[in-house]
Amino acid sequence: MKDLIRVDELSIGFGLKNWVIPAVEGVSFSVKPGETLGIVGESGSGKSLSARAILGLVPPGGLITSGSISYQPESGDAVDITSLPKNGRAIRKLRGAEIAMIFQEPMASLSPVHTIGNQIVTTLRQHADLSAAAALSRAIELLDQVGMASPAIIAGQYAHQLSGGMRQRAMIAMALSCSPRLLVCDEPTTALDATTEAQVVELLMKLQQDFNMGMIFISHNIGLVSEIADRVMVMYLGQSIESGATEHVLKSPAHPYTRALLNALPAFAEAGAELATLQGAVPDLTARPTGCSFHPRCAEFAGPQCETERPAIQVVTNQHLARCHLHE
Amino acid sequence: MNEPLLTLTNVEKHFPQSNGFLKPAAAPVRAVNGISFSIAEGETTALVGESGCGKSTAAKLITSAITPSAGKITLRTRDGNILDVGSLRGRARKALWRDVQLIFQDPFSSLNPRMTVKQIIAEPLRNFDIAHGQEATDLVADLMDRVGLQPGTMSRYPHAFSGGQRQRIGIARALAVKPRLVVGDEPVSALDVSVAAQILNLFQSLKKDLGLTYLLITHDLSVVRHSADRVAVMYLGNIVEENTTAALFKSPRHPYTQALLSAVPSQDNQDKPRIVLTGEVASARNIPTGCPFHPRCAYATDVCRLTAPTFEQLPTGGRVACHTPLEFMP
Repeated sequence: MKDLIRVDELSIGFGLKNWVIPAVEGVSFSVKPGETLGIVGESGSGKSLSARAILGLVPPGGLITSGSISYQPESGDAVDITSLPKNGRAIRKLRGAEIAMIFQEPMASLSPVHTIGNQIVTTLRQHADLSAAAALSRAIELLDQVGMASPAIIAGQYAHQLSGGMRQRAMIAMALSCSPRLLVCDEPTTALDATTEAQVVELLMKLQQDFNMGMIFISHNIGLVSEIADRVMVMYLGQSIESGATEHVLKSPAHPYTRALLNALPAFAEAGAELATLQGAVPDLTARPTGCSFHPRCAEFAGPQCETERPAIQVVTNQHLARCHLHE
Repeated sequence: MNEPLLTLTNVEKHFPQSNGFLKPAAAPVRAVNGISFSIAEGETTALVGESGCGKSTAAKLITSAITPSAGKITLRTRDGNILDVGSLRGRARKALWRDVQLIFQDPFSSLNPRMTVKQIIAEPLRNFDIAHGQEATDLVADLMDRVGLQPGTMSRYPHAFSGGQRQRIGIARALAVKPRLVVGDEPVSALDVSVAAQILNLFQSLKKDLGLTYLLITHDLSVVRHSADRVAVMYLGNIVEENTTAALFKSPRHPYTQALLSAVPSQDNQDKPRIVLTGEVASARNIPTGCPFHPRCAYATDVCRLTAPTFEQLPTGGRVACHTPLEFMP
C-alpha cells in the first residue's frame, strides 16, 4: 500500500535567515491509510511542530529549512506540502478536507461566537457544494456519529455551553466533516478526565476503522499511545531518536532516552519503589548539547563519541530505528 | 495504624448561587456532600476523582481557606491539642498553617515573580517568627539543599528556574515551617514525565526523612498507585470508596472505581477491556436522586435510583458506598 503521507528529513527553525534556532531536525516518518502513528516526547521535543507542518501550519516566525512532506491524494501525483504557498488556494483545499486536525484545547480552538452547527456548516460548505440546509442536516448527522445525545440541540449551542468531553467530540465531528484521509490529533485527550478520555479514544479508534483513515496521534502519555498506535516515534529536542512498531519500541526500547522515559512512569513502576529518573531537565533549544543531544542526561554512555559526534540513525532490527551510538 | 492526624466527619460544603437581585435563589452547588475520612500520621492518603468531584474543595476545607457548611474537621496539633479546623477564623488559623501546608499544581502562578527565591522561602519563617536575618538565610540554604536546589541560586527570581525547579521551590516553602501534614493539590500534573518522577521521588524521601504525612489530591491514578498508602475515590461530592491502595487497585468494589481504573493504561491492564462509561458527570447543582452514580452505572437497579447508599465498612476491608458492591477478588 502506498504511503498517505511521507515526511522526509524535515527541519524547521525559528529566527532570521542567517541565525536560525532549529526546533525540528531531520525528522522522517510516514503513515499508510488505516494506520496510526504515535509521536511521543516531552514538552519542547518538536512533536506538535512536525505534525502541524503537515497541514502547512508552521507558526509565524518558523520556517521549513529543509526536507519535504509529500502527500499522496486519492488520484494523481503526490503533492509536496512544503512547496505550497502559505495559506494559498492549494493548501486550503487540502487542509480540513483531506488532512484534518484535532487540537488539545477544544475551548481555544472552537469559535466562541458561532454555534457548533454553524462552525461545521462553514467547514462543509468551504469544501463541498452543499446548500445551507443540506449542510446543517449533515452537521447534525456528524454530531450524532460522534455520540452526542441530542445532536440537533447541540448544533444550536455555543462552545461554552458544552462540557470538555462534548467540546472535544464537536471538534472531532468538525474534523471528520469532509471525510479526511489523514487525521492529525495533537494531544486530543490531555485536557480531559480519565473516563472522558476513555470515551474519546474509543470513538477515535472506531471512526478510524470505519473510514480507514491514517492517523497521527501526538501525546506525552506513553500508556495511551501504546494502546492506540501501530507504530511509535519518540522525539527528543527536535530529533526522532527512536521509531518502530509499538510493541518493539515499548517492550524492548533501543534508545536510552526511551528506556529512561518508560522507567520514569509511575504506571509501569512497582508501588512505592523509587522511580528511575532522568538527570536534569530538557535543555533549552538555544543551548543544544554537542554530539548526541541527549548525552548530558544519558545513563548509558557508549563512549567519547557521544559528546562530540552526532549519532546517525541505526537499524536495530527490521523497521526498528534508533539514533544512538550504542547500536553502531 | 497510627492515630489519625486529621479527621473529617460528615463534612459538607455548599456554595449558594444567586439568580440575581430580588430573584429566588438558584439551587446551591453541592461541591462536597458529607464526606468522612481520616488521615493517619506518617501515611500518604490520596483523594482521587475527576474534575468537579469536589476534591479541590476538600483541600480548601482542610487548609481552612473556606469553612464547611456542615460537619467537623479536626486536626491533632503538634502539642497534642485537638483543633477544630472548621471554626477557625482570622489569626487563629495561623496555628493550623504551622501544621498544614499546601503545594500547588502550577509552579508558574504559585510563586511571586517579584520575590527572590530566598524571599519566597524565608517568608513563612518570618511570618511564624521562626527565624530572622542570617539564621533565616542559613535555614533557606538548608531547605534548598534538602529539595535538591543549589543554595547558591537563592538570590535569583523564579523566572530563572525550570518548571521542575519551581515546584521544588514551592516544596521548600511548604517545608519551611516544619509542617506535619502536606496537602499536594495535583503537585505533578503540570510537569513532564521525567521531571514528575524526580518530584515524586523527592516526596518519598522527604516522607522518610522528616516523617511527613501527605494528602495527595490528584486525578492521576498511576501516581496514586505508586505513592499512596490509602486511597479515597470521590464522585460528585461523595466518597464512593476508600481502601488501602493495594486492595483498591486489586479489587475495586465500586463500579465507578472499576471504570476509573480501567481507563488508565498500565502494564497490568493491557489486555483487560476498557470500561467506557456512558454519559457525563452530572452537575453539582443538580445531583441525581439515590446513588449519584446511578445514571452512568451498568449495574444500577431500582433501589439505586431511589435511595442513596450509605458508606459502609466491608468485612474484607475498606469502605464503599454502593448497594451492590462488586465481588471481592482476593
